[in-house]
Amino acid sequence: MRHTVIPFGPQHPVLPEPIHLQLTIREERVVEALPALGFVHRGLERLVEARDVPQMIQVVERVCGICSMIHAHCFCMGVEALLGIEAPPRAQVLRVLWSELHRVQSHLLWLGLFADCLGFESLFMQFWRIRERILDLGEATTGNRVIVSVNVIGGVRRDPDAAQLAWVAAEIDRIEEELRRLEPAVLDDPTVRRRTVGKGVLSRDQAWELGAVGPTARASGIAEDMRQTNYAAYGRLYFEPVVETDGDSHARLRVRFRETLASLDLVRRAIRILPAGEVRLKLREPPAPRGEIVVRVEQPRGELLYYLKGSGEKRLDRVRIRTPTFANLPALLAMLPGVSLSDVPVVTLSIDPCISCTER
Amino acid sequence: MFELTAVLLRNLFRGPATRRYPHTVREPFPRTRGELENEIGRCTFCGLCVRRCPSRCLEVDPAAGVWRWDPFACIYCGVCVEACPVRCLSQKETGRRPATARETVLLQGTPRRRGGAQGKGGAGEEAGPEPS
Ligand code: SF4
Ligand code: SF4
Repeated sequence: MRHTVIPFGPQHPVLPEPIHLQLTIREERVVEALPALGFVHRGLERLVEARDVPQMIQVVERVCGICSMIHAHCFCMGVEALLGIEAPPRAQVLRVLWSELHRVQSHLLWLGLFADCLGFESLFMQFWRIRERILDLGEATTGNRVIVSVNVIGGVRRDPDAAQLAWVAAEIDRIEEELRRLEPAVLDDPTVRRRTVGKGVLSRDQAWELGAVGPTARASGIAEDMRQTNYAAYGRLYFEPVVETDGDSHARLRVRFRETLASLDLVRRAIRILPAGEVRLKLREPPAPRGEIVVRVEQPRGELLYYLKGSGEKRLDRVRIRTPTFANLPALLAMLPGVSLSDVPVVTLSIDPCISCTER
Repeated sequence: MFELTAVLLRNLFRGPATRRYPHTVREPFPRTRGELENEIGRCTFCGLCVRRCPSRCLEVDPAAGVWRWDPFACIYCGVCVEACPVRCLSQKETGRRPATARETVLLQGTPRRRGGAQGKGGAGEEAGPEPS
């Protein structure tokens, strides 16, 4: 039987970002998938040579547009640790609040794209309509819509007042109600199930061995979430990871849907425990971190890792960013063999690939 | 099976979720970071905004009294506004209108230097924080 090689991407209707997969096909089934990356490399890590530490916050926010808050949060935590300072408690909780809002909007974006890739246009519109309201919450409390630019070394730049927080809490309740109404349409719909159940299975052992992270690992039964390490204020929120065991595309869909609801709940709890006080330390001199550190946080797509190295100058020596999609690509390549060609888009999208992040 | 139908029916009676943008513009949220404004009469051309700007889209020329801003390279982070020691720099709550040609905003103030120049404090490098 002869093999056929088919290029999938870098331009493909289901791909929000360019990744190229070279698929070897036999009788409509994938035998092997080889990736090619590098279409959107921007050299952001190298900018560290030209930008000082506070300016790097705006740079790392641009690694990933969709979870800018979490990148900046991670970077600031690392620099603060190197400087031996800690953001005030109110800032810590606010950072969690905004991080979770970002997770919700990122997951809603993905849920919409995933519905779209299944051809479920109307569901796609529903998710994006709801997502817009989350973006409004972010814009009203931070000042910017997507790239919120709210973190600084030693705290946050905005402090929402009680009225705003009450409005956020009320909106969260209404959004949750709307999402719950969509739940059966996403999870139980027969067409969605036919396209996803049993497609792109990643066993627990494979996920572990290939170092999968985030929802991709959690859908295969690995209860690992960086938020369990209790960074920032997560320790006070009694966080529980969402885990599924099937390891197929539908399990990944379930994990993300349930995580969206869990994140809304975390926002609500964060508002409840928000302590009074200042939100930003006054630094007497420009930050000049010395030493090296690895920081890990949970991004919507999984574990995000920052390595920072400074030698007491106003610019860092090195920033190394490992994003979750980079860690999930080997898992994707293991999922694809055996999948029928028509399911490749669904399986590819099921890891929520964020290529711009991966290539930085 | 018909869960979505109920949602869709509700949506039918709710009106559109989108706006006809250039015609209908939503009221901005308070303190949204929009277009930059500089009260150039109070600017001391200290250059602090230039040094803090992460996207390098500002330029000042103290000798000529010129403050230049490239709104197309600006990322609207508001870092310069926080940095400005005399608080002459601020941000509107609305963004700029879409444009078809690239332009820079150039504001001409009174150059400082040469014997204290204009009225208030010909000040040294670290323009005192007192407003105006
Ligand atoms: S808003 Fe940010 S990018 Fe724009 S001029 Fe000010 S510091 Fe520069
Ligand atoms: S920081 Fe303020 S006073 Fe100084 S140059 Fe910029 S706008 Fe003018």
